[in-house]
Amino acid sequence: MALAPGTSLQIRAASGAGKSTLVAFLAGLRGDYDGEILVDGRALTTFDVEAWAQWRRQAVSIVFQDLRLFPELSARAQVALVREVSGGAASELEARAAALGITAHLDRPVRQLSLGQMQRVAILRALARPYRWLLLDEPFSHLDRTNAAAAWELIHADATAKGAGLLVTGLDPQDFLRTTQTLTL
Amino acid sequence: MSIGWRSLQGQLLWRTQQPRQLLLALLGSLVGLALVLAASATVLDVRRLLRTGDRGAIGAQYVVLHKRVSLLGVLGSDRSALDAGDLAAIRAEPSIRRSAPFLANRFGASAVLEFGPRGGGNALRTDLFLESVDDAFLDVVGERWQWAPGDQTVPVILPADFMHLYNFTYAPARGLPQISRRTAQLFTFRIVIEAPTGPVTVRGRIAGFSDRITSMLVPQRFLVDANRRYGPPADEAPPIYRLIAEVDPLRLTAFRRFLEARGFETNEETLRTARFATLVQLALIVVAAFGVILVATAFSALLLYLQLAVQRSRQAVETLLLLGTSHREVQRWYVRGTGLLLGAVLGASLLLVWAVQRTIARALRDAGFDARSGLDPIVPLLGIGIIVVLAWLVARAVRRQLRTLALPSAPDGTLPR
Repeated sequence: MALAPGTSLQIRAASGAGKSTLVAFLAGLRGDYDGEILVDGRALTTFDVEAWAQWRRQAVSIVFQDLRLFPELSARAQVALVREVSGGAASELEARAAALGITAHLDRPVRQLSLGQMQRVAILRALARPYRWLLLDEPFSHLDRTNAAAAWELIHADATAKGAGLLVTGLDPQDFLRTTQTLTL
Repeated sequence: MSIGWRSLQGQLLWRTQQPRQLLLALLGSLVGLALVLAASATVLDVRRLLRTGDRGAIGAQYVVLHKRVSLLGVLGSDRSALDAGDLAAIRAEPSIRRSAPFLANRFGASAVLEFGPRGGGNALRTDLFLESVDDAFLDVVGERWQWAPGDQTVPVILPADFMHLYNFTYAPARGLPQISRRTAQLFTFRIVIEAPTGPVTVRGRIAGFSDRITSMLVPQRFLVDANRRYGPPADEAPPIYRLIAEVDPLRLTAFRRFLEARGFETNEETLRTARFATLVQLALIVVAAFGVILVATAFSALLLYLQLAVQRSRQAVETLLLLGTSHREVQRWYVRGTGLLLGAVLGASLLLVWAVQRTIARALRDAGFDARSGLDPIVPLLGIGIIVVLAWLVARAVRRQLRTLALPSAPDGTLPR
């Protein structure tokens, strides 16, 4: 399985098939696998601590299934934080928030938001930084179809603009998802 | 709206839900460090007082050494003289800074003190035992302590105890007036030497009273000259029966062991004060040891608190790492935070120690000691050293803990370098 910059891949599989495990391997949370995962020809297993930091800071942006937001921080603070770590344009925040329908919730601590709103904050944060690979692990699981489609449009446009490779996982087929490749397990 | 990254760090990394624990750990560190530094400062001050010679609390320890008088010595067949081996051992003994032998008169001599006008009244006559020693060991050398060949007046240093004995025992019993040291120095007396050619008379003049040496001392040049002129002819150097030694006050235990091993005796009373000083030092070392234990305990609590803080923030730390913050940077935040706390503890400890030392120095000065105010530079350096070691331990502990977060362990359990 390969993912080139500028292309997109969706992986559809039932629960427990290993979608989140694959994302954990790519995020550097787990390393207990056989075989090889290569990034630009380099195996992830050869990454040292600094290489992992570099990979996470500049190359990859992830929406985790469990979101990994800071509950006490607002959406605006979460975005400011990733920009502080990785850089990124601040001007698009309002527009993206409007596209995701969470403008009214930008300054509330995310612990006060619904799961669907949190999911959109996680997407907002993932798009707010530079990346060459965008990984989305079941990013629409708590969104209705309208909000999910709007979110996908925003994600796809951003990844395309950045010339990034895009990997999205999900349980079921989604009619609004247009990817260059689909893998069903 | 601008969001302060520093305040976010604080929120995310320092979840101090038990500030009382932190406060207690810091307080313990403060007290422990202050104890260590105060004890060190006092030990340094005591050592300095011991080492600063006559102006110090104890001063240089001068003792008069001689061999134990044996039964054979009583019978006259062994005079308990110090042999070459004894002298070599004394020279080689590290607890003895320097030493010099006493030279005794090898001729008969007596002192004659005449009362009344022009010596026409009564006369007090007594046999004399004269000794001399290197001037460097005397405590009363002054301008009156001069003698050159041909001089008919010989300066004499008497033991201060003689003066006390006269004023408080002899004079009251005989109805004689008491005299001060200054007045005594105005008197002269005759020293009659039993020379082979008949009596030779010189004038004796009191040059001072020694608190250090209990002997009737004359200048070494005079005694060497007089022994040569009036004593029996000698082929070899006269025997040495006793000598004066300057002992390192910080090595009195070793000195006492040396005395016992060689069968020497000395004036025990002199050593007693210095033994007390050694006892004070030992007590301070015990206090410092308690301080070290307290610092170790309090620091363990601090370290535990820190590890708990990292553990409480585990989720946030892991997310920060996943967002691209490096492990080194997160480690630096914790170390910097702890370093600031430890720095404050050090500053407060030094302030406390400085205040305590100042009070003690004032009390010591009131008691007549040459105690100085202000900390020895070693004390802050010691404090900085302790804090650097503690900060290094924090850095190591945090680094180990952080390595368990957001790093993929291979199937064999190894983590990235």
